[in-house]
Amino acid sequence: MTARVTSAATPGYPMPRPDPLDIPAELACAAARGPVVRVRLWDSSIAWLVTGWQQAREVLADDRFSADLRRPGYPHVRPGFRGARAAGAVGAGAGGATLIRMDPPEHDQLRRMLTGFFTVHRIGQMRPMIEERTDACLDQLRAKRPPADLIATLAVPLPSLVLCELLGVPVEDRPRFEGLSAELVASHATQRQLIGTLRGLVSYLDELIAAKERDPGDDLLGTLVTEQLWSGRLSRADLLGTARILLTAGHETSASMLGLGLASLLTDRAAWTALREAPEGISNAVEELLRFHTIAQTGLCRVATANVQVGGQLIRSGEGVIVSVESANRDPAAFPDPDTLRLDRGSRRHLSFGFGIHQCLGQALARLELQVVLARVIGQFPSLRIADGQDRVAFGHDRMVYGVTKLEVTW
Amino acid sequence: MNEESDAFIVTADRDRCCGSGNCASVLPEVFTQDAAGLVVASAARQPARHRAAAAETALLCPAGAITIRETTATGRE
Repeated sequence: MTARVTSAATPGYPMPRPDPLDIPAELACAAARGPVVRVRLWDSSIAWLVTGWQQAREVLADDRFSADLRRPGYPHVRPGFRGARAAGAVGAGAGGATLIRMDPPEHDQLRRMLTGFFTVHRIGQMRPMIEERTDACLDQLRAKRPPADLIATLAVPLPSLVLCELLGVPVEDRPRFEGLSAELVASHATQRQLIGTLRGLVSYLDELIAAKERDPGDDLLGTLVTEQLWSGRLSRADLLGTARILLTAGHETSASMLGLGLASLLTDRAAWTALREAPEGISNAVEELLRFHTIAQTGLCRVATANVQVGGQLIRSGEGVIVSVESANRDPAAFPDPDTLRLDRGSRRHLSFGFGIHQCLGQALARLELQVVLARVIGQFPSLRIADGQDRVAFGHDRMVYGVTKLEVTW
Repeated sequence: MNEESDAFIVTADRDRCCGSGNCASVLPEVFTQDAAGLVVASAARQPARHRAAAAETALLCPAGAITIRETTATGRE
């Protein structure tokens, strides 16, 4: 008699975060069962959940696991997602996918058009601009009477300002796409709402690209127009899809991590003081904050295109796989004492930027923003603390990317 | 034991490279990125003091593009 897998035995995914400054506690239970286990999704479908660091790297580096969400068996993690991802075909190019959901060879061809803008050296040249923009936000903070919300004043606008510089988005257009990109990641939205938001975002980007075609400039979008669009290497539709993914992947992520980093340091006074006294530790501190908090809360999703053995399990062709980055980042085999925030840990081995060919294109920029902003806040507001009273801090549990939605402080 | 006997060579596969820049961040003395973001690895034999960082770049590379090859004690190719 074969054993039946009951819903009690198969945990659901994703899992809630009862402690908002930590990863879901239930993930540890799943990980204890093994580095590759089965989970049940919102629609009762079953997928594989990879919780081990070694196994996560294997899956993400293996071409036999496709990132193409249109393939049958691709795991859709939340109800809004299937709609959002189908709606992702809106402005996503002739193939219907953007960079993050493409496979080789199309993925590699497109990514190589972009990597030159995101090199360590080129991003490093943006440091003065990021410092200046950060100082402008901090001036705004000073102009407000405490308590003031660090999220609205700093964490949300700063990455948006930086992205505008990188892509060549005019400042006057910012409020429009900031609002649209925030709506886009609210996964409680209905399918109809998400499609509407995407249409609005794509419509704006279309106008922006048309403006670049008239007057290119040497920003990222202008350069893509002159070097790739006009040479016929990149279709207008794929250029539009690329612009879309750069905006959505580069704004909310950084805003969320800035908010979480600030909230984390503000609740851990020893860490705050240590960084204040040894500011050269900011680079290590940022890596550890990235590892510990892991904003990706719905996993990195793939679908197997062949039978593959991973972590003692046979994953069959057509089966969905979710790589739990937050869990892999707490694997004691990779990070001794993993559930402790140790700002001097000095490890870059976390998977918060992913792994394999899709590893975050913007990681050098994300790191630089975090280093500049956190260092400047600590340096310029040494007595900063969370404001007294109720409801000063709120978290975004419903979004694709986890983060802080309100952080009211005084100084 | 001299520096030469501890030397090694790194090779980076530019066809596999996805331009993440991890190598250039961790060991800029040995790795840089060209204008397209792809890895350019120093062809020179590397001294022992770079060995740990070089091994780390091989582990961190998301595309598995970096390999380390130990050279012989006599050091002649």
